[in-house]
Amino acid sequence: MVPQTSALLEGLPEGLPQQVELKEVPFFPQAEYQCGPAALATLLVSSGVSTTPEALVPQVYLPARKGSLQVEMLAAARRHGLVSYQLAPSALDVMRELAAGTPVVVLQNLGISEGWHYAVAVGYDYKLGMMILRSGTTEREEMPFAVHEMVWKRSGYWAMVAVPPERIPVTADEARWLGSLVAFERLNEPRKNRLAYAAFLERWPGNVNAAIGLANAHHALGELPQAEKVLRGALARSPDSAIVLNNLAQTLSDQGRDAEALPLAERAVAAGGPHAAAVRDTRDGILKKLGRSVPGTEPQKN
Amino acid sequence: MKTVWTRTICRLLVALMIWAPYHIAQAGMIGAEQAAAATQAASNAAADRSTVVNYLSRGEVASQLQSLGIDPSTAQARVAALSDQELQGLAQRIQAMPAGASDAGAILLLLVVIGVVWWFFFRK
Repeated sequence: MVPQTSALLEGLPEGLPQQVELKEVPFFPQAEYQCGPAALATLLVSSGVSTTPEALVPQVYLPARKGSLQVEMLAAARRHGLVSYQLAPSALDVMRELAAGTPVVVLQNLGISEGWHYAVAVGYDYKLGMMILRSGTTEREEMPFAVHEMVWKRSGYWAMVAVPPERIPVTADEARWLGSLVAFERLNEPRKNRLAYAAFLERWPGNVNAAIGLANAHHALGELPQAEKVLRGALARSPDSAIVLNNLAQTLSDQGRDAEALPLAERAVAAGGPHAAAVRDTRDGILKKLGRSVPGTEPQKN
Repeated sequence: MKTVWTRTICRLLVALMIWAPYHIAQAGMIGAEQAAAATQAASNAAADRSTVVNYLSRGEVASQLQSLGIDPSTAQARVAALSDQELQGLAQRIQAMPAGASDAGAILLLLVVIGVVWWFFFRK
């Protein structure tokens, strides 16, 4: 019934303290049905964002559902310059994040038909077997591990954190953190994206997609030599990536180095893949700048 | 008939408004989101299809949000905050997804549950 709690009772994994409580995490007692905005405000304010549950209501609350959707909780945090990340469905991961100083929003089901409820885990006491939460109108709720697991399990152990882009959660998985950054990127300015991808590459230096993200942030900021450097590094690791080749060719072309860009663009076209059309456009643009004819646009001979 | 057309046009406009900002990207540069998606999409067709699907579902999700009591400009901003991946299937599942709410009755029941579980697991 409570497999994670049973495993926990066998012993606490090394490196996790017996007791953690993030006392400085603020408390926002929820208004009726509005645990989503209250829980989210708790996370955002503890990450240094200045906001209130009332201000978050129009960003996450659905009047007709009298509640807030999980994807919108994740999305709203991004609108405030934080990267949101859904944790792996594991109580230990929640405890690891707490031990690292990061509060965690969990989705519980408290029993009645629509008993979905967001609460914020702020600590635990292993000896007493208690999770410590900010929940509803209770500032400090102690809930036995087993009870917490029962009400949390019903959401598939759904849990999220929201952190500044340079602070990667300790339990983050490479591919899923990249997914979080990609979602973050579309809403935030290049300066923040540059910070986010640079931190990513510090932790996982070999990730080509993150290098593409960092280079694009440099490019958007007009830092073309830096973009070039990052893309050359990525190309060394992934010589057949049509996207790296394309972006490098474009970056060189933007620096007026079209002759150097052309062979890279040709390689990108030859590599094919799902972005073939965009890649051909890049190549054709370079050909035009060099004053050469573009394949497929020559006058037809009869 | 007129309302059907109005609805369709509204949806299209919402979709266009939401879609537009993200496609005035830097000329010639392909983004990390496309790169990450390309890792999954195996072919040109798949990539093209997902672009179309995302385009349509942004409008669809925005109108779903409106039907759940959100005004159009707020709905637009909320849809814009979703990633392509989050968007997938949201339009179809939005009514069935759990929405964290909690009311006093549920919390009362929780207290009973806590009591029962406490009794079974922790009595010595």
